[in-house]
Order: sequence, then C-alpha cells, then structure tokens
Amino acid sequence: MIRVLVVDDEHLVRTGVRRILATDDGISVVGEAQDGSEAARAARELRADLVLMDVQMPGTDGVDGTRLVLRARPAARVVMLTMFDLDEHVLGALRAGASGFLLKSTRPERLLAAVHGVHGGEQLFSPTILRRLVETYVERAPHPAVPPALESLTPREFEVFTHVARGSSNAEIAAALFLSEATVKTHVARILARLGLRDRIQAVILAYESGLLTARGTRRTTEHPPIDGSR
Amino acid sequence: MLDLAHAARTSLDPGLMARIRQRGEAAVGELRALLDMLRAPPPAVPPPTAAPASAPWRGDALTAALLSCMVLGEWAYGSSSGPFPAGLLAVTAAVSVRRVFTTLSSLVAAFGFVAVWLTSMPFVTGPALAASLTLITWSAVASPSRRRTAALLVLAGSCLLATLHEPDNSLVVATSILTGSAIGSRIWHRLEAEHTAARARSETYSHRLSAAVDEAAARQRLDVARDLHDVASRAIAVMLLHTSVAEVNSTRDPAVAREALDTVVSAGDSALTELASLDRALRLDGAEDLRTALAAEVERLRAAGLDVRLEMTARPRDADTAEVAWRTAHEAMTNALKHARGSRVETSVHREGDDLVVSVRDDGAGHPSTGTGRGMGTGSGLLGLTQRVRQHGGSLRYGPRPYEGGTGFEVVARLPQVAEVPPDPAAESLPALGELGS
Repeated sequence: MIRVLVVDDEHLVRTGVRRILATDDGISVVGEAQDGSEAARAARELRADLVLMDVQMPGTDGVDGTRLVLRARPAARVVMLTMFDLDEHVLGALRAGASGFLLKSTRPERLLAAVHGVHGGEQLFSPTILRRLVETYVERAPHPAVPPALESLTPREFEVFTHVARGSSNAEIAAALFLSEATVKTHVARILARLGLRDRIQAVILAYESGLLTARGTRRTTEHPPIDGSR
Repeated sequence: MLDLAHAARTSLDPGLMARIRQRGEAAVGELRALLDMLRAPPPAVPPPTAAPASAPWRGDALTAALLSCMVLGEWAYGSSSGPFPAGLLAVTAAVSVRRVFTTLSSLVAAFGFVAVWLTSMPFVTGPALAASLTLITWSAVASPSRRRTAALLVLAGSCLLATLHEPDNSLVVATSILTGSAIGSRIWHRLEAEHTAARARSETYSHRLSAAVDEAAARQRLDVARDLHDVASRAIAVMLLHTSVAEVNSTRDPAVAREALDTVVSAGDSALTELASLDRALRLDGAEDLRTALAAEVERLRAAGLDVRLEMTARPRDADTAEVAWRTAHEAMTNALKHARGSRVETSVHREGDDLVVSVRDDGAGHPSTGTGRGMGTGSGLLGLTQRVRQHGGSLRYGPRPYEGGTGFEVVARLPQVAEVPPDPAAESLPALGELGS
C-alpha cells in the first residue's frame, strides 16, 4: 500500500486527486495539506511514502515545501503537481529534491501509473523533457568548471556520471561502456551517494549548472578532471 | 467545456468526457501562451545619446576663402596697390582652422600680423581683417585653455603691433574687436552650455519618465497575468481533475462520477463569473462605473434572495482605486452569497480621513475560511485580494464580527486616496526637477 499525501491550497483539487487515487487498491491517501509546511508535518506524522504537491501555494510554496518534506521525512518522495510543464518553479522543486512532476491534466491511468512508478524508484519523465527543462531554465556558469564534488569521482565513475547527466538509462550506459547493467547500477548508486544527490534528475541539473554539459548535451572534453592512475 | 459537462452529467458518456479533457488541454495551452506573452519584458528604451557634432571645418574653409578673395580683390583693384599681401592672407587663411586647430589658428594669424608689421603693409582690407580677427578670437575663447589663451595673447600683441603703422583709430578699433569678440564669445558659449545641459537633463527626465511608464505597464500586465492564472488556471485544473474522477468512476460508481461532473460545471460557472468580474475591474474608469458595477452586484445578490444595502458616500479618486474597491466589494459580496447563511449584507464605500474605505458586512454564521477547513477557493480569493490591496498601498482586514446578536463576517479594505511615489534611487545623481527652471 502506497501512503500518499495530497498537498494543494485548492480544496477541489485535493478532492479530485484523492478521488482518482481512491480507485487504485494499491494506493491509500493518508492525508491532505494546504501548504508546504503543513505538508512536512503531515508527511512525518502520517508516514507518507509519496507526496503529491502543488507548486504555487499561498504560505509555504511547493519548492520550499519539497525541502521541508524531505527534511521531515527523508524516506518520502515528492512529486510536483503542476498546471504547466517546463515551469521555472518546477525546476526549483526538482533542485530541492522532488522526484518529478505531473500535470494536473494528466490522464487518470497515467497519474496512477506514475505514483506506482515513482514509489518503485523509477524516473518520472523522459530525458528529453528533462533536458528541455534544464536548457530553458538553468543558468549555466559563464566559466564552466568541474565542481569540486565531481573531482572525487574516479575516471570511470565520471564517465558514467556524464552518461547519467545526458539522461541515458542504465541499459544504454551499459551498452555504451561495455559493462553489465548490474555494474552500471552499482556505479550510479555510488556516484549519487558520493555527490549527495537524491536521484538522476539532480545529477542532470548538477551537470548543466556546472557547465559540464553544453546545451546540446555534449561533454566538454577539456573539463575532464586529471586522469589519476592511483585512483 | 461547460455544455459538454452538462451533457456528460446525464449520459456519463466516456466520449464526451474525452472531449472535455481535450478542450481543457487546449485551454491550458492557450493560457500558457497568454501568460508567456504577458510575462515577456517590454522592449527596452535606449537612453538618450548626444547627437554627433557636425564637422565645423567646411564652413570655416569657405569663410576663409571668401575673406582671402576680399583681400586679393582689394589688393588687385584697390586704389593703393602695393606688395603682395602675404601677411594679410595668412590672417584670413587662419580662419579656416579656427575650430579644428584653435591654437594653431591664433598663432598663424599672429604670424600674419607680424609680417604685416615688418612689411609695413597698410591695412587695405579693414572689413576682411576685422572679420578674421573676430572669428579667430571668438573660437579661441570658446572653450578656454592655458595654451589657447597664451596663443590668443600672442595674437593680440602682434595685432596691436601691426596697427602701429596705421592711423590712430586703428589701435582703438583692433582693441575693441579683440575685447568685444572675447567677451561676446564667453557669454554666448556659457549660455549655450547651460542650454545644452538643460536639454540633456530634460531628455534624461523624459527618458526616465517613459521608462517608469513602461515599468508600470509591465507591472500592470503582470497583475493581469497573475489574476488570469489565479482564476482561469485554477478553474481549469479543477475541471480537468474532476473530469478524470468522472472518467475513472463512470462505470465503477456513477454517483461519484455525476458529482464530479457537477463540480466541473460549478467550477466553470464560478470561473466565468470571476473572469467577468476581472474584465469589469479592468474596464472600470472611475467613480460612476464603480457605482454602476456595485448596483449590478447588489441586484445579483438580491436576485438570490439576500437583503442587500449599498451605501456609497465617497468616490475613488482614480481608475486604479476604483478597480481595487470593486474587487474588494465583489469578492466579499460573492463570498457572502456563497457561504454566509445570513440574509443581510451591508456594503459601504465611504471616506475615513484620507482613506477610501470599502466594507462588506453580513449577518451570516461566520465564514468557512476562518475555520480549519476552507470553502470553494475562498481562502485563496481573500489572500489574492489582500495582495492586490497591499500593492495599492492599502490594507485588508477580514474576519467574524458580532452582528445583531449573532456572528457575521466582515471584509474591510482601506485604500489610500493619495498615491505615493516610491523613492527613486537614481534621483540623487541628478538635480531635482525644480532646478531645471532656474
């Protein structure tokens, strides 16, 4: 049973979402909240697994709300519920640790599938959408440099990281680097842990923000950290 | 969308619901485009730039040629023919560079006068010489520097030297020309500098004014964008979500599906009412419009069976105040209609001190937004209104209040009648507007 918390300032939106989710036996809506700080409290008290949160709310908005929820209940995943795709607020929420976003116009069956998917650790949207989002709203550093955190990666991990940042799936990375998918999975998990990132979305954002990736998604070869055989 | 929802309510036809969804998605796209358009920054106005100075040397060269011709003409056909007037021609030729190489011009003219003195040449062409001397002196004093002043003094000395061979009054004439021209030039250029500065200041002010107007327009557009977003996108979100609810429940639980479609219809209806109010607010043009709008609103509530009293003893000073006043009254009266169980509503627009006060009171049993739960978007309506009133420099207060033994609800907006101009940090670098006239 996935324990879901619905957060929106509009009573009718909460009711609507709740009623859609109620048709799925694997999902239980454990509560509702009207803004971000209330959501954080509710997420902890009700032990929510997944928080569906509106972006723009009076009081604590969805971006701050995401941060608060993840602090109050680190086990929870936050999915933004938004009216428009590719919104700068959505990017802010993703940077704050949200696992993805869903449009309020999403068809009910896709909404349910998405809830199951995110709960199962899947990525919510295609790499292309993510890249478009990041290209539109992330301000790239004028003088790109490898952030210090990336220096801690081994050359192999760095290679895997650039693939992740381009939005490649584990299978694609495995094919490109002649590795087994299980090895890639281990690499990705270790990279995310080492960089303190929540998921692959944050990896993409980090790569773009640091200027490691250019708009076309190609790697800046000159920015590769020195290959150190001792690592 | 609404007619489809009405139809779908009775038939629960999945095809109809799919069409509602399609319409809704199209509306989202349109809203998005509209918002992007409204949020686009206005085109930047380039700051005024100084007009490029025209090349002065052409006119000077022409003048010099003319004066030289006069000298040559007088020498060739004049009564007293003598040696070639090289010195005099040097003086007239110096006029050609008086503005481009001012110092050089003075020195060449001085050299010419010395030559005149050495060759004891008579001042055959008084007018041409006087004109040359005037022009060169004029330019030398235009924007004085140490070097130019020194060169001018050399010129004055040599000129006076040259007059030694001449009749007595030549010295007086030459001195008069030198001093008169110098003083005239000084005064003229000072006046011109002041004029230029004043014009530059007025251009800066007019540029700043137009920038401020553009900024205000952009802000206004953002306000409209926010209002549109608040009203339309919320309504569409609700409508789409409840269409989804109806879709998933059409066979599973028809009662829930019908209820969801009811919500679609009522959300659409209230959005239309709110959009009409927004439209009205944007068209309000002053006090009379406000009175008409309020009267129509009173009729709307009366038609729903409420006992409404309207008292308008003060009028808003401008269209902006009228807009905020109208929105306050409309929001509060709509809420009274929606939530208040009471049957009496008192709306008043009056003056308290320098403020315009808009108050709406009802005798209903409190208000949903004061409790833990919230009504149909009412909370956000009052929050949005608070924001709008604050933007206007006023304050909004709302909450339950005793009313004839029971508990009513009141909304009071206090709007400043005198618009305050926000301080401009750039103003310190320029003199105040008042100084322009001095």
